[in-house]
Amino acid sequence: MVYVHEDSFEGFLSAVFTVFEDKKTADFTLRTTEGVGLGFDEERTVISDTEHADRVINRLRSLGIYRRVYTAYLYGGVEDSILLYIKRALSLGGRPDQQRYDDAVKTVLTASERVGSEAHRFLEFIRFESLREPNGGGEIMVADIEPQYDILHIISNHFVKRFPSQPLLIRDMRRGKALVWDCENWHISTLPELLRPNITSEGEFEDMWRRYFQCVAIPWRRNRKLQQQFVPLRFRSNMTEFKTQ
Amino acid sequence: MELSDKLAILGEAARYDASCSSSGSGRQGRRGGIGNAHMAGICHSWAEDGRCISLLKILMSNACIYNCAYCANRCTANTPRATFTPEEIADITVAFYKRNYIEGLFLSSGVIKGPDYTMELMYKSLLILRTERGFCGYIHVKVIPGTSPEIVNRIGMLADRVSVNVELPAAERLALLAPQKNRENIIAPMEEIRSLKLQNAEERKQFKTAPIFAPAGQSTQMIVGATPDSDAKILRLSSALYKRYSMKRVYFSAYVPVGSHPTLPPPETKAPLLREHRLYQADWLMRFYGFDAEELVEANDNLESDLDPKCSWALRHMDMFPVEINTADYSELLRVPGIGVVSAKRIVAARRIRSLEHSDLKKLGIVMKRASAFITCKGRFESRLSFGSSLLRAFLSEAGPYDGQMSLPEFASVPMITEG
Ligand code: SF4
Repeated sequence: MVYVHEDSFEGFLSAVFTVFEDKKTADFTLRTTEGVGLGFDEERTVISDTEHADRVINRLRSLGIYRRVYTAYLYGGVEDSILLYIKRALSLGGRPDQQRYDDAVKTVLTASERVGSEAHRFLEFIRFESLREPNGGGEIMVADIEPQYDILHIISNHFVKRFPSQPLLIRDMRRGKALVWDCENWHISTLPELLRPNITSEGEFEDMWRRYFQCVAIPWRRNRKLQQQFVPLRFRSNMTEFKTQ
Repeated sequence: MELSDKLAILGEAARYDASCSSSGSGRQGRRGGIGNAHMAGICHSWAEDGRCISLLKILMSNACIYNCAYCANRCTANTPRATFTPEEIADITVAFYKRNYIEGLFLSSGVIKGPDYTMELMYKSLLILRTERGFCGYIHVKVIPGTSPEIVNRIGMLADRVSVNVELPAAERLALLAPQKNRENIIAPMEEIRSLKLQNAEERKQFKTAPIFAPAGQSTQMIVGATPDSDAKILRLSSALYKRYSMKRVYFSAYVPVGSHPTLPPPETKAPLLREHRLYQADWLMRFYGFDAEELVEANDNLESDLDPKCSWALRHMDMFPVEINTADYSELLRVPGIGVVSAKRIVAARRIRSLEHSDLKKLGIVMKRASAFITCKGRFESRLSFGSSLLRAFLSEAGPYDGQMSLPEFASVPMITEG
């Protein structure tokens, strides 16, 4: 049996709900509506259902695996393993993470760790630029990112806590989404309504930072290879200190 | 002088301080303020020398009246001088912080008129940051030897970490090379920080809301290679500092010949980078792997340069290997080359569920290339290098020029956002 679900986290959770409702223990796979079926197996289309998704989320939370499942889902393409992982968690009544020697567990953990480390990179590498609203409006800090996975949700808590009184806009240029924080609430919205002038990276403090960045390197310890291992090239186009003026 | 020029001078002047950690403090942000501290610390960039940038590391001033022979800022050196005002420090810190360049401030200084005068200016910078600017990010302050305890106390109430540099491993050398400093006035503030922290912990038992004195504790640094001190001496001193003052970190800084003194290495000497690296590895083994300074050096004066100190220890103790993965204690597992803290924990957790085979180990993150000659699984030994052979030594040694990378994957930290 192939469960066909909408290509979203809610769609995936709805499929998880349905698989469990059908009491399926073997012989099933998941695929999204975007995917192409081979036509060999019987298919069942799952309609996304917020209430079903919420019920699954609550169950995952009670097992202590919600974040794990969410981050592994963001990795993409490991939905079948996630299902097996959830089954193991259910039969254990908790996290199955110690069974790393199991292929499904290992796949889920690796996927989730990759997404987690990508998210961590952005705690490090996001660079805000100060934008003033026209007509004497307030200041908003804007950052552009191009993450490999859709990590806006995961990093929101960190930035919102860190900047309780500073409005933020983090734009995921790859997916056309943005995290918006107005010091009261945050939400994720699509980009077109938020289109703004390009960030220019010009400014007194931007220049000072670039200069400082050059000065702190000890010339006789120069080691670009090591630097590149820590700051891979793909992040640099959005980092002030690597942008040449 | 423009602010940007000052920053260039005082950033460059501070770069030889190796400490960059922003961890160990859970300072919370507050409404109307800016920032918080991240328990595990966050690096924000890596400079061209491959060293991380986590804090805005600057001197308050490099117009120093002292003349420490090993220091580029000594009063007799010919170098441009600058001094920040407390307001300037607050401005730059907040501007950089809100752009997510840094986790906070690392503030050190040359001696302007005297230790107290300088430390008062540093205190003022912190006061502006913490009160006027509502800054809740990380702050590490370096105390100048000879500062009054009362000022150290006030600073500790605002900073996350307060520290004093040991500078040189041997007290006699310090007297020779840094005439205005001595071991006593370096140790005195360390003692003060320790006792102020204990006192504060007592107070906090009664008043839960009392502010915490330097929540991230203290650290220190010593220069390696400026004096003829052996690794054994350095590691023994580090170990004593960890024990006596509950140091969070002891940093080593490979000496670059910037000074001139008949007893210092001549200007063309290369900085001992590999030696610094081996000392850091030994330091990791002492802090996280249950090794003792004496075990790492044993009869030798210095660590072996072509082997990491753990392999070196293992090869000297072949009688303790191979260890059986399914029964060895956690502490025994930690001593196996190729097994790190994370993988040792994984082994202990996984083998409770079922006994492990060689083929499971890679999935648990063990570096089999290194480990296989030291382990058995269910009694089976699978290394192609026969146990105790001289080939093993050659196999484990790290040939080729040192490129500054931590060569043991087991030492790599795993950046992860924790489950929650
Ligand atoms: S006190 Fe000594 S080490 Fe510190 S800046 Fe002055 S000369 Fe350099």
